[in-house]
Amino acid sequence: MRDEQLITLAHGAGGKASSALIQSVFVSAFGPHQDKSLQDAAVIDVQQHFGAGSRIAMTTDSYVVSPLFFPGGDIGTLAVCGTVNDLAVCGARPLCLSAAFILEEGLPIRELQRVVASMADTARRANVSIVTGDTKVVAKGQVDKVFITTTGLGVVPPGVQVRSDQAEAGDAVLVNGPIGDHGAAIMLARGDLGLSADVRSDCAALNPMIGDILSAVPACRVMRDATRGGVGAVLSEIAQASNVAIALDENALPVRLETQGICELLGLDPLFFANEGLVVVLVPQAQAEAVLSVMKNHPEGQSARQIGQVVEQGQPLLYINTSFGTKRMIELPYGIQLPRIC
Amino acid sequence: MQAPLTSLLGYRLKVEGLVQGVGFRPSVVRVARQLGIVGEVRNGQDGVYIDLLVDAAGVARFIASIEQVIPSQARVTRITTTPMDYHTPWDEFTVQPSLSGGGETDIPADKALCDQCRAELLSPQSQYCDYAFVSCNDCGPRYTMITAMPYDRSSTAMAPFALCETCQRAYQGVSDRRFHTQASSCTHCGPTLEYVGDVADTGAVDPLAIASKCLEDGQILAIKGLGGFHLSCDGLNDVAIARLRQRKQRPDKPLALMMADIDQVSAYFALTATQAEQLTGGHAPIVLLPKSRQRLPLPDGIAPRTAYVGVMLAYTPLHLLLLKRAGHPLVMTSGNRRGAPLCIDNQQALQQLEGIADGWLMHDRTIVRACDDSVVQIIDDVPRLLRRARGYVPEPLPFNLSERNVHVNNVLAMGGDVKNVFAMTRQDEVILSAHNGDLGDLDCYRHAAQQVADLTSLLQLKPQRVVIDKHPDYLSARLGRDYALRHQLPLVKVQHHHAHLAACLVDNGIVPQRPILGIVLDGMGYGDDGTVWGAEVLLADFHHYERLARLKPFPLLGGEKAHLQPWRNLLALLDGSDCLALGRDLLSRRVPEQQQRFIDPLLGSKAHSVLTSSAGRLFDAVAALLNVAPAQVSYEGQAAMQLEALATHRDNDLQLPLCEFSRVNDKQGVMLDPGTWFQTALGYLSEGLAAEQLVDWFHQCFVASWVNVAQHLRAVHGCGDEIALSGGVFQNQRVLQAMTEQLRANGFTVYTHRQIPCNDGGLAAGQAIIAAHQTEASLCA
Ligand SMILES: [Fe+3]
Ligand SMILES: [Mg+2]
Ligand SMILES: [Zn+2]
Ligand SMILES: [Zn+2]
Repeated sequence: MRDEQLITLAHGAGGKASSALIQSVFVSAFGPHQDKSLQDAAVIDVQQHFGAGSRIAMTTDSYVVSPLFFPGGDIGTLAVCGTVNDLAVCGARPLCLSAAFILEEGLPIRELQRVVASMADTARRANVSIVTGDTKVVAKGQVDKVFITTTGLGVVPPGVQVRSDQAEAGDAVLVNGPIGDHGAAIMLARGDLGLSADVRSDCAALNPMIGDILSAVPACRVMRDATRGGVGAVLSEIAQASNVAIALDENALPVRLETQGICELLGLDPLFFANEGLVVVLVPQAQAEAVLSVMKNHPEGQSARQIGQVVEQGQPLLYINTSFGTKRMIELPYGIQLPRIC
Repeated sequence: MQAPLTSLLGYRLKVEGLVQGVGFRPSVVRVARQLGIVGEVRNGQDGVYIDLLVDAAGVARFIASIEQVIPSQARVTRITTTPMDYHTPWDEFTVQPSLSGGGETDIPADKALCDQCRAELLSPQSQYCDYAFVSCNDCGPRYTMITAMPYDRSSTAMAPFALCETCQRAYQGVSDRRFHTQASSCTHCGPTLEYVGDVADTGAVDPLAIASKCLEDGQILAIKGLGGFHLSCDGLNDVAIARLRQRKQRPDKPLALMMADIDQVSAYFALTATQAEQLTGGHAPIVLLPKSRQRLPLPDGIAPRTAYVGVMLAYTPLHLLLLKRAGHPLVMTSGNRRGAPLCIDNQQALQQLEGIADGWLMHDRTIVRACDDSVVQIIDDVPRLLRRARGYVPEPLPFNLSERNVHVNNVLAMGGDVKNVFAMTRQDEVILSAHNGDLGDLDCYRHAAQQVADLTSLLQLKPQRVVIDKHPDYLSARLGRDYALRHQLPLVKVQHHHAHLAACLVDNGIVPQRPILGIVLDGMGYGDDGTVWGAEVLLADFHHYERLARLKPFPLLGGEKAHLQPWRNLLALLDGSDCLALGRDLLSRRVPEQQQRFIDPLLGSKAHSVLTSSAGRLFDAVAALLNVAPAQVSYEGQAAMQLEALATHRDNDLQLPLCEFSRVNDKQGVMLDPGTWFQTALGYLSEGLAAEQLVDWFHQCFVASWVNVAQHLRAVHGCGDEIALSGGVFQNQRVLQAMTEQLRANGFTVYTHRQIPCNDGGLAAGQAIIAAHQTEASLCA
């Protein structure tokens, strides 16, 4: 059996080992670029992207996840999708990403390659390039295997205006798919529940779908990427920012049976489970159908649906109309979800 | 009329306290006329004002006479006398229209139908015979009818009903029982009844007759009462009760019964004098009567598997007329959809109770604000309020403040989340709100917010501080933060069990001169260490507290689900007691079939679970162990109540040796570990002892464990002999009685709850007193 190649502190020392790693792992995966000189910064030709009224969008995110690999994706897919989606929900067309890696001494290089390969693959499918990056290696135990930070740059076309503080009474609240799948998949993949269920992370780059939505329905008012904190966190932020009451319909919430099962078991609310390929769209009710039909043209939008409505202005509230006719308040937990019952 | 040549010397008296809506002014008029004094009396916003043309000796005589005739419901806190120059040449003593503006006054609570009105209602000779809204100076709606103070008819729900000539005469007759009774009216001028629903073709037109017939036929009626709607059905009809339960989605929670009079109650229960007193008193709460003293059978469906039946007397004329026609008890449960606030409005009731009620018996007198029925439990012959609402709210309770330590007079305390009651203080009084339900329901949340605004304006109070629970996700805390922000007030956070303990001290009029011990046994309260507390001994005063002892924490397997499924707590405690292997077999019998597959994953989730030391969850676990608990509870405290019901029916022959929880000392203090108890109990069960034979033994072991730890702590910390008992677990009669008895036997002075509930309904009183004691400096910290 061949000895497994591991990350060593030498890979982070800036010497030959470092450049060898960059060439063999990163450049080969993220290339080819027009500029092969590996300069200190990527220089982007902006002319082809800009018209009058265009704006630059920029975002950054760090990714840490245990386990690194899980059904539906890995830390690499997350690192690309998360940043691409953050750009897309701001109305931006993502152009390029940077990627910075902090590696733990002892990480098998094969695992790093796997991660990098899925980054490259995801980036290709999202039609963005990874144009610059950085690598550091730290001693064993100082990080958990690999941490990735990606920064994304995008262009917001003229006229596009989506913001969290624009929700208005009468807006429909839409999602493109089942909620909580990523959170459920990670919880299962950790293994301590000893459960096996067929739940895959919904990890996906949504920029093609979101681009189509915005071209078809420029009237969309709010778009949010419902990652950590889930749909619940995003909607309470929107309610706060726009000072509106949002009512969800319990029967309309798309939750997979398996995800529901885990929530039952652990007494958690799927509204606060993480997603990695879920966009929440608020659009005037009259245009809701148009948005849903665009969503359904994309693989990530097959179970797109309306889950609620903005009901009134003047007080930030989020609640759910339950199946027995009451209105249950949804309060974003301060930390972990704690019972209120005495 | 000629102008007075000189000013006339006299005195103005200002009388403060509960002096409006309680027949105080008529007494004043009577006294003045008896003494031949001229002048006038009027209600002001902050009390009653009396102007008298007398000399100093006359005033003294007047005050002395007034003190003799203060009506039973009135409470005079202060009389201030000021010499005045008058320019009004009075020639008699009269009642004048109210003054507006000024400070604070007391709002009277609603009072149950009095004996005299009851007699008139039932007497064919009386003009009030069968009149569903008869009321007098001693009885009828007050708090639920007042729109503003001072208390005049124009600021009540009676404003639209102009008095007829006869009623006007009574209203103005100084010696009449209805002199200035704002709710006074008769068939000619008062509210009218209406029945809405499908009516069988009997030709009946009288709404009361139709309603009675429908109840007799087993239908479910929504009945508009004093502080809200009730849902009612025949109290002896099993089928009707089952239907009501099914429609209201209330499978197990006890339903209250209403009876016509004390004779009817006595036919069903052998009553003690205290029970009878509570039933017939003007507060007319639901009194929990022990099934062990039941004489006649009642349907099981009323209060399944619990030790008590809640009974109240007909407290309005309308209720009494229905009860008289029925001839036997009626179920009267709160008229709301599961989890939603009580319906008070006709349209709202028609909408929200659609699908639950078959018919609606309503009237056109508005209910201004909701107020649930109160609940009293009598333990050790002492009445203890478990729910303080109709009849009591908004009567102030004394709030013993030690002057030098108090930093603000007016505090708004937000209370807890599930049985929300908030409180306001003013100087040496605390006023508890009615129950606002579970704030997790949007309508209840909004209702609570509106009640805060309503009560502050009605009582003319300007809170200087707002106090909330430490739980980061409490909705009551959110309400409090919003209020504080809007009014730019400082916010104080108080730990849940410190507040429970302080509430018990307030209830007993104790101002601790040095920290005293308190055993708090509760469902849950967010702790300072981020875990969920619920069984501890605190050493506390109104400033600080120290947690000296606690139950060994165990994981809350599945968070909120652990509150619903008692077996989850059994799993956690067997695991934490190292007897999972021993208990596997039993567990597989206790955990419902379709949830067996959850057992291992839940054990796997331990590391991610919140830790709790909740006594409530320990009782759940024991109820599950002893096969007393349902797979899923349908109301708060169900498992513990079913456990208690079996403890009171204990088998006296079985004398098992006490098995106390082990005492472990660590750097956080003393920890009580129930591990050995669970091991021993499993042993008994495997030897073939019946589970129900262990129920009372558990109560004994539990109580002894806390009594002994209290003795130990008293010795170690050199604290005094005083000890307070608080938290929802003390609703359990077996626990409260045994613990009080044993602590007293060991030389403790024991404080227990009476007027302020030991559950979260009393939390706000404790929060308020702690907040009032915080210095400005400690607020900023
Ligand atoms: Fe509590
Ligand atoms: Mg981000
Ligand atoms: Zn009366
Ligand atoms: Zn009349």
